[in-house]
Amino acid sequence: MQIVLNEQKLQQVIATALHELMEHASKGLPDTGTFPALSTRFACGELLKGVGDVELRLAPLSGDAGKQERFFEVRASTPSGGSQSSSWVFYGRSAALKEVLKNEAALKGKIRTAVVAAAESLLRHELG
Amino acid sequence: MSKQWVLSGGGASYVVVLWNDPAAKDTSHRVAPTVMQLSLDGWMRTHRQALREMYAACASAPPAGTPASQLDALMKQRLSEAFRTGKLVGLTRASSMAISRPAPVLPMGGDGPPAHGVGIVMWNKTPLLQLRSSPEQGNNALLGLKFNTPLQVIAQMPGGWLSVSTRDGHVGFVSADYVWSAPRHPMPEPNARLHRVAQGLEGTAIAIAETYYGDIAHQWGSDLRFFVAVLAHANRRPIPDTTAGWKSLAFKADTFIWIPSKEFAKGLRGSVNSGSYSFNAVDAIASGLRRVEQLLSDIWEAIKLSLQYIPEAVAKHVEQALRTVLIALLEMAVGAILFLAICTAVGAALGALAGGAGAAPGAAAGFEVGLALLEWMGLAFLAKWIFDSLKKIGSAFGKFFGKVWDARGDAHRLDEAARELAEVIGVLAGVLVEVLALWATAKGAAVALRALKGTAVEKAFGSTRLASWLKERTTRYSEGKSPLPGPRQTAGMVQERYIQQLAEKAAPRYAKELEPARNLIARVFKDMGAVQARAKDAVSAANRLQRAVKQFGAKVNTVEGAIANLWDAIGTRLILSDTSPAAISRVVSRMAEAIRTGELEVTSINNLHGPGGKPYFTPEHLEALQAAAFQAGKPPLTVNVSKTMESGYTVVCAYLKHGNGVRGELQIIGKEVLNIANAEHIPYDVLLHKPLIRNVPEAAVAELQALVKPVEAAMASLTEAQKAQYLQYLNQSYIHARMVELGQVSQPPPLPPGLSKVLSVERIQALERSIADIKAKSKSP
Repeated sequence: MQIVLNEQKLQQVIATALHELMEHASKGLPDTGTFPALSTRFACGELLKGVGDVELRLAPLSGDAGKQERFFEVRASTPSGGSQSSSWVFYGRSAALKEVLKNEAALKGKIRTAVVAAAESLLRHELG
Repeated sequence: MSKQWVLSGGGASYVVVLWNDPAAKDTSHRVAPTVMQLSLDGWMRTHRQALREMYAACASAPPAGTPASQLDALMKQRLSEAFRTGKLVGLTRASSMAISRPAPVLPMGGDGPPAHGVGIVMWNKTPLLQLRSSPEQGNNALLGLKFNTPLQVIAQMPGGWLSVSTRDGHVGFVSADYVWSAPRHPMPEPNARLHRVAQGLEGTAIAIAETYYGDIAHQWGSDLRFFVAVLAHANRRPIPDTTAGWKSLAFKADTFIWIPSKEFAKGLRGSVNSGSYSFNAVDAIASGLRRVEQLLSDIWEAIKLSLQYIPEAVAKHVEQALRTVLIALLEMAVGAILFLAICTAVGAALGALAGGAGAAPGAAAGFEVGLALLEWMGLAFLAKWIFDSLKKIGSAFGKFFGKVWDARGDAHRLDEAARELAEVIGVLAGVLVEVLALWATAKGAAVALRALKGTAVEKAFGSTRLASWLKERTTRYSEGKSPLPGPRQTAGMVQERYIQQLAEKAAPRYAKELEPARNLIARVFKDMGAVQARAKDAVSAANRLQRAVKQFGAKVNTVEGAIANLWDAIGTRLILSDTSPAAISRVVSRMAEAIRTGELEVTSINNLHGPGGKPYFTPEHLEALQAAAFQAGKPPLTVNVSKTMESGYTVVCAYLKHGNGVRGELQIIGKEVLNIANAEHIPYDVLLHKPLIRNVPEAAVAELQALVKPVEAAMASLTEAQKAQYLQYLNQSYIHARMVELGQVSQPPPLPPGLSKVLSVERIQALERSIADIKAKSKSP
């Protein structure tokens, strides 16, 4: 059984969402200090089995006393929104994150892998 | 007496007479004309002269000017008609085969004497030894035979040729110079192979033994002396009777020697003291070989006797349309091919046989025989579809072996074994017909016909008749007129059974990781709570695997695949002694540290709770664990958060990798919540129609059923609205338990009005305790 229902479209929506997030990051990602999480969301209901929305999120690490650590999270929700599966595609400081954001092709691949893994994990654990 | 012709092949021999021969009046030995007609192709190759005589005796000469290329077809057609119209009559030679060893069948018309036995190709160069369509050199090659290809020798032919059949059903001729077989080179056992001895050290027996048996020699904890002894005897070489005599045994360079199969060699182990081998031990091997020789002779005898019972057995199990075809095919198969297959199976079973006199080899050997039969008919691709039936047939073959093993030449017992064999073959034929139709329905008749092209079945049945038979059967299935399950259903059932078997095989393998896993969790979370552990039972594992296949197409085709997809094969549970926020943070720190150091390999974490519930881990905890995985350079951790556990189930599940590819689940839970969880699963499982009573001793089943019956009845009587109320009640009970764990003031929720009291958490908890007591009682000695 295929988890990815429309590969081409999935790649497209990931690219669009990533561009949007990169734009947010160019304005709202400080080198140090905390900041409100930057995110972008897209619908995957017809692209992935068992997934509703997917959110790409850049946020500071909550328990980081030095306020320098950031992570890039890919978070997929079930169609009901009752369950979420997330994994990180980056963890580190702003400078490194900005470098990663420049490498769009590699990042798109990582996001795609994370989204599919999230979908499979939600299905595997039968979370609604 | 008028002219008679004896035709042999495929393990059977027939006498052909003219209609006016006195022998033709004895109907008890008559063979169906179809059988004779179907055998004509083979005889055109092996008994050409006899066929020419038959043709001359019963049919008019070919019209003048008939091209030579058409003579064969014409002769075959005329002979076929002669059998159909009764001009020629085929008779079995069953009476001469029965009871004692048959007298050699002496074919007439220049055909060679039979030389039933297993041989092996000893030509190890290129071009390969050619299997030829006639016993002569020329443009008649059918296929190349590799070094060590086993052959069934059907007859010795004039001019140094052998009539042989290969294991996959090819029949033809090879030069006898390049095949080792009895009587000059009798094989020590059916699965033996040849080895060309190298020069120097590599040519010593110990080096050869190391090459072929090195891996199993070490398993036994002894040196290679035993295997050197096996090689010595198999090749009729004495070992010098000194302490180090075995070391000096060498074979002549550039000669061929026999290498008995590992199974055969292991089967002789009981006869030889591998620790202190002496020359006398060779005698023990010799007696083992003599026993095998008798066993093979008995098997051959029983197979031949079974021929007379096959038509009746097949008729019992197969519909009319295919009956004669299958009888003919199986009778042919029950000759050389089946003998070879059984020899292979016996070779494989020898280890078991040598374990004790009279021990019947298991179903596995019979399974191989069944597969060999299918392969011979060109239907090996159906094996998957009849997996279960093949197992049953395998068991029945096991019975056949058992009887032959005990027969030791006794005619009555061999006859009993022959009847067993015929019955098994009949059952196999019946299953085959049904499955063939199911498979054809699934593939579509046109595709099926293409796939069947060239198989023995297609050849025997004729493509046109097979097409109409398949069409009729597939229509019946499509219209739902067959009482049998449809192809998709059958495929599903086959897959389910296959997965069950994989789960059963996987269970003991992953269970080995149970104690290491328990110790790991106890070590990592030392002093933080009690640790429980269990290995998933095979039934539950099979259910899990079925769901994985259905839900996201998990690949479960091997035991390793099954183990990889059982992400909770080993279940460990940490029952926290302290569930305060500070204590939970310590648990998270300990886990993060273990991830960083590599002590714990965590792949994902589920943080579960019901609507409005209080999870154990906070978002900050989960971030810390994801950061730990990144810091350790591990693959990103997948974190699942769910607030939709409809019964309120609250727990943290971490999914771990243990040794040998085994995966496990670590539940982290507090005592209060666990008390609810232990009870709550009873009504929840009833709601999901999961069996409550399983993996319990037979004696406890009735008592447990009586206990759970009221809950089942109460759950069954709930309306949809009441079900929703009840789930809400259970969720509230979890929330209450979490509040208690957090030291906050809370009151247990009341059971919604209108629901049976047996569904209250207290009553279910009491029920859970009673069930646990009964299970414990029934397990104690």
